[in-house]
Amino acid sequence: MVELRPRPSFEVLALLILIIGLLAFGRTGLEAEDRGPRSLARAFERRIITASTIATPTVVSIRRPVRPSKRGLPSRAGGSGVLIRSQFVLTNDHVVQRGERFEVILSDGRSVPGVVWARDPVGDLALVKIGTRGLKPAIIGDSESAQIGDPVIAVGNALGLAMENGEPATSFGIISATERYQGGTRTYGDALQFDAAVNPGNSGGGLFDLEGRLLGITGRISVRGRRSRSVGVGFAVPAHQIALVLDRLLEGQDIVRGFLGVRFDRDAPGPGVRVIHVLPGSPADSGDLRPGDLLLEVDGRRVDHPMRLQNALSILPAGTKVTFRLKRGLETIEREAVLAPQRRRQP
Amino acid sequence: MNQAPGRPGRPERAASRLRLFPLLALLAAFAAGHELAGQDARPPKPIFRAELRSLAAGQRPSVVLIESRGRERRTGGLRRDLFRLPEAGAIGTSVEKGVGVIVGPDGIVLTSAAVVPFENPTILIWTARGRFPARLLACDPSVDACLLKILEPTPDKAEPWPIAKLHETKDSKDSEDSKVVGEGLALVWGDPFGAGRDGRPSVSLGLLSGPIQPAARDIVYPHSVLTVDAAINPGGYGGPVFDAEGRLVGIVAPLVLSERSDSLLRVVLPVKPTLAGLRQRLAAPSAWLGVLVAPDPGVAQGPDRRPPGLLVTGVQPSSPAELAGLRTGDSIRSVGQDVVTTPDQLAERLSREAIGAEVVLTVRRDGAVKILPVTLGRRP
Repeated sequence: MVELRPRPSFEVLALLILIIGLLAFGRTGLEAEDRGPRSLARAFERRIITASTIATPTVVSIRRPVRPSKRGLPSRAGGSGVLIRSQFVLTNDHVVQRGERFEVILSDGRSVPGVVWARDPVGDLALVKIGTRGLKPAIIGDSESAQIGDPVIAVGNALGLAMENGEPATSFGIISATERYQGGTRTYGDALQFDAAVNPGNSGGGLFDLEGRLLGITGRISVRGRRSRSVGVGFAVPAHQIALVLDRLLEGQDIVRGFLGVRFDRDAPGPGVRVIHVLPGSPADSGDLRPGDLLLEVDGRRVDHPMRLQNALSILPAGTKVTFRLKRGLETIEREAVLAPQRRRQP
Repeated sequence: MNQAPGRPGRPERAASRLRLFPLLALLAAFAAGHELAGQDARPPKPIFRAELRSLAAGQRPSVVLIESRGRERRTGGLRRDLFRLPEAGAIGTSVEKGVGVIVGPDGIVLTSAAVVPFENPTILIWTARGRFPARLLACDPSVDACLLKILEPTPDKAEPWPIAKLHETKDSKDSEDSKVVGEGLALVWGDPFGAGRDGRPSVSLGLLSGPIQPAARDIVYPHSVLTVDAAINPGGYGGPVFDAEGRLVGIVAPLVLSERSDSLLRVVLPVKPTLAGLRQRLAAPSAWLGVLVAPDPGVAQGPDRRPPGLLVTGVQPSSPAELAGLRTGDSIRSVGQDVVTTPDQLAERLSREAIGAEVVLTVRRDGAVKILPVTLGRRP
């Protein structure tokens, strides 16, 4: 009897400590649900701060090595980059197109040398290897399931202001649209459109979700008038597009985009996209695509508009095997094609 | 019994487990606290995302993209063009693009007049159901809003269109149409720079403020309006603005305050009074003169000295203007007692008249002043 006595007192003690523990540490999270709209706003604010705290150490500033200038003027805005591996920074190709060696300023203010390791000029991506170890890379998010309305933050060296102490700036917004196509010598084939402010210098920086995970690289903005500044229309290369080329970039290979060799009806509204011409000897020809085929799916993605087909194809590097589901006559069939290297003018 | 040497018996084990329990509980509570505060390695539960997603997804079906083509720009309407000033009577076909929102189950679309600024425009509308032609029903030049109707190939078999939930004022004190309830989160739909080439609009987040009565560029709205700080750009005209409960608050009608500094007042026309004004015009269309005009700056000195007016650049056949003897090249000085120097002023002045009313135009022709009485007609 006597030796059984300690048992209940232990249980009571345990319970007490559990309650105290919950009161002391668990309160912050419960506030949001329990205490009305003001606390929800507070919880939301804290989430943005937390996401920024997680994301910021993975964002760097990039500039060309400072050359002493006669007039002593500061260098241009430069760009940003995101640590994608401990020794590798992912940025926009247009940030590093005019050189091989760059100065990379970490978010803690340290400056390290960086060398361009590999490029994807059409996809506007480049990998810079930096001369330091042990840095924590960004956590990659699920950009494919990002939806219109998702809150996001953009982190980068806005207007070159991070050059002082390396600390990038954060701006807040939402995903405005997904699967945006923006043509040009640099093609944003599957871009996330967002309304967070990104300005010159933000190029190559990160778009993160509110859990601090990387959704994309912020590279392109629409501008009004002549001045290049944010009007709330930014485009990011999404993480799932980066994943298509990242391994090759890490191996030091430059990326060449793929070429299929079909011309399709751009004006017909969907569903499906009608092939009107197949270039003889092209991957489309060898893959048995024919004029008149109605393309329904590309790699399992529905193409209900000509822009979507362009969108889906433009992000694929040469050598990618693509599966098409298509309607030929009354039959629905599948065909495969291996994309050839694109012979277009490189930016 | 079969116990291995050195391992404690059952009671001792239970006791030692219990001794550990408080420590574990403390650790668990600590971990829980940290996780909820969002600092754990495991990603915290998304906050606010589901709400924004479902708001956007709920609004999307009622949002449409609009493209209009026409040769002649309508005269009048308030000059609140965001990035380009319309030229009344400009020659050649031009295209305007913008956004609208379905407000009637039979495919009635509310948009800005800047999206359909032409006489007899050809209109195409991209909906979540596909692309359709549309017809202009009515415009209200006092606020620059228009109603369109989506034309379906088989109207009798047509399914009802998904309409936007309208913002209804709850308080009986605010039930007047002139009163607008504002402030709070807003989702603003648009097609900035024509980025939605596959017919899909995009959305931007901001805060609503107001109501206000903007006093800019002598533009006077007949009711108060709201403002929003979300991103608004070319292609954003007529963009629907929804509140945090997914109700349609109004449509975008931005005002340029200064073209040099590119500063914008992002005006939101409140949906209730705007729709009420348009419905009134549907029931009783505004009076029609039938001229194309351009501002005539006038000449201050020299033999050709003349005061500013409105240069007639075209007279529509069989219009009240033609019947009254108005000619291309005339300069309209005033309507009744009111001096007019801009197309907007003329339209605003005419909108106050009833169909069949007689107004007196003071016109300058070849240096001489003429008085022309005109009986206003109904727009054909």
